[in-house]
Amino acid sequence: MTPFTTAIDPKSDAFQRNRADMLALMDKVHDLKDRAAALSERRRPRFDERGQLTPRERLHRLLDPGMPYLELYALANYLVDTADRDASIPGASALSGIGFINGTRCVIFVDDSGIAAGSAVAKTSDKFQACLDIAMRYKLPFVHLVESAGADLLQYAVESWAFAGRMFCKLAQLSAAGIPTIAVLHGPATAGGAYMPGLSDYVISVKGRGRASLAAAALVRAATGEETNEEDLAGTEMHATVSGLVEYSAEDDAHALLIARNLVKRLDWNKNAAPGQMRAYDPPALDPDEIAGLVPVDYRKSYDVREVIARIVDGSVFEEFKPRYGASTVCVQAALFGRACGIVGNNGPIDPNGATKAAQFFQLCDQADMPVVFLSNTTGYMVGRDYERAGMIKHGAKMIQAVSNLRVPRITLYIGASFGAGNYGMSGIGFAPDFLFSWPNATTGVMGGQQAALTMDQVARGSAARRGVEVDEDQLAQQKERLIAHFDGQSDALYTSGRMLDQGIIDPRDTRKVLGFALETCAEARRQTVRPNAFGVARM
Amino acid sequence: MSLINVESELAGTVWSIPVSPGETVEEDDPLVMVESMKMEIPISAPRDGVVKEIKVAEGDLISAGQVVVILES
Repeated sequence: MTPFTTAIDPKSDAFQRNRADMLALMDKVHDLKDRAAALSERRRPRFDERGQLTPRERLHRLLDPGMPYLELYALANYLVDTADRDASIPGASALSGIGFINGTRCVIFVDDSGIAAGSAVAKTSDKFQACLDIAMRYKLPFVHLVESAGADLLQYAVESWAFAGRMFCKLAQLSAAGIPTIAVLHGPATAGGAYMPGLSDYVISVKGRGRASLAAAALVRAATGEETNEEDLAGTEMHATVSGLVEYSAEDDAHALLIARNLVKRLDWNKNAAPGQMRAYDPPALDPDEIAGLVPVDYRKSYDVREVIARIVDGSVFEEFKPRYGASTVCVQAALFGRACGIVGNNGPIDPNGATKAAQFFQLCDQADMPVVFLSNTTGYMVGRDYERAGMIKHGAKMIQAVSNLRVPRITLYIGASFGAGNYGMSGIGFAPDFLFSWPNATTGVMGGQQAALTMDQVARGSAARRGVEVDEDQLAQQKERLIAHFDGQSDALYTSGRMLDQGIIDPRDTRKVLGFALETCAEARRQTVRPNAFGVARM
Repeated sequence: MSLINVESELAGTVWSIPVSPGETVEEDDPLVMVESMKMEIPISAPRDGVVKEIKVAEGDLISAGQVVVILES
């Protein structure tokens, strides 16, 4: 099998320009993550004073050194707290991801208590729930490093409190599904937060710092007039010796994390998992680093997605399925780290032949039990008289139907445009792919702002003509500008990642690594067996 | 010597025409850029040749199958 013959010249001006554009977008992503980290780091003196580790130090201590860690939802809540792009803080006051603890793949959620004392913001509950869902779907132990002031009372909304109950419901269901949950109390877990330890299978608490109570001393005083102190009311000592909430007391943060690591080891989590097959593979013959330069960040500029595929797959080798039928929808068979998979990409909008080809390809992948990777870069299904007459709806529906019902792992990457129903056919967020990441140039939405504005412009003119009145050109021009801003302001990857419409933005050059990690997580889950029980493990 | 009718596969608007009549082009060189479905899609030369005639102008609405360039090869 011969590797793909590239037409890319890394020395060309276009390549250098694309690369500079792409890396500049990636810098913005790093800057945003750094903004949250720097804000949290400002509290370091307080952590030091209390003899604590910072949330990021806790995460590093928990994880196996040198092993991969897949960060998830790092930009959650960006532009949700404020529309000011220069002030908004991403992360939803938490760090989360999939990583290894004593060789065991786990889902990890760390309260970022350096930011507003770890108090929950709008997307914190969604981020927590999304992590619990991942633990459930991939049968991974769940470890939560707790230190949170609870919800910010100034931002109270009745529905966010009500739906926060889902976090606890899902924690309980994880335990019942036979998936262990571990909470480490580094600081307070108050009110609703007290159910984090309450509903976790194992609770480790740091002496003098870990606290859990339904109401802190101030609220107790307000509610009943009782005078109490935090240690008597909520402290580690009390819970370890009197209430029985805490299983393991720790001297300090580092000790608590050591206990957590030992606990995961004691689970011997993979003892019944069928061993995975390690297979030989060749790295891509073409340099994955070149992806940054071959993709124009403006989705209007077309390029050959096979150039991207060739820099992701083993040996840069793939077989193209029906290359001359529905040619702008590209389907290939290839291998990633020795694992056969189907990959679908777009070299233009999806036409009827492209849709039927993709639907057939997905069914073939399902038949052969091959994961499907979606490199989503589509401005949509073709519109227009000829395409409607050719059955664009029914053919597109077949593709969407196949995507919805695939039984094999689906990994979606938004690598450019992801518009309209094309987003659906290419396994968008609504179709719950196993993993979904974006490149920083990704643009998603029902349609482009320009198309939305022109459509409304024509509707307004048609309506005015029917009523026999003249259109107000100034007003129409203003409406057009507003619509473009309204649509395009919601379409960039930073905005959509803030809304958790993906699991994060990755560097395009890391695509192969991320796909490998995601596919292995899916494969490991299939090999894993769990022992579900009816009600979860209760603390007696 | 043969004349080739180069057609647009998609309906759209002519965005730009990077070639001029009489120009020598190589296979896969873009002859006409069509704006369709929010993308700039190139209509490329099917083989090496000389641009004999350009049948469209920037801003023209074209339909699928419409001849945009005649190429002498």
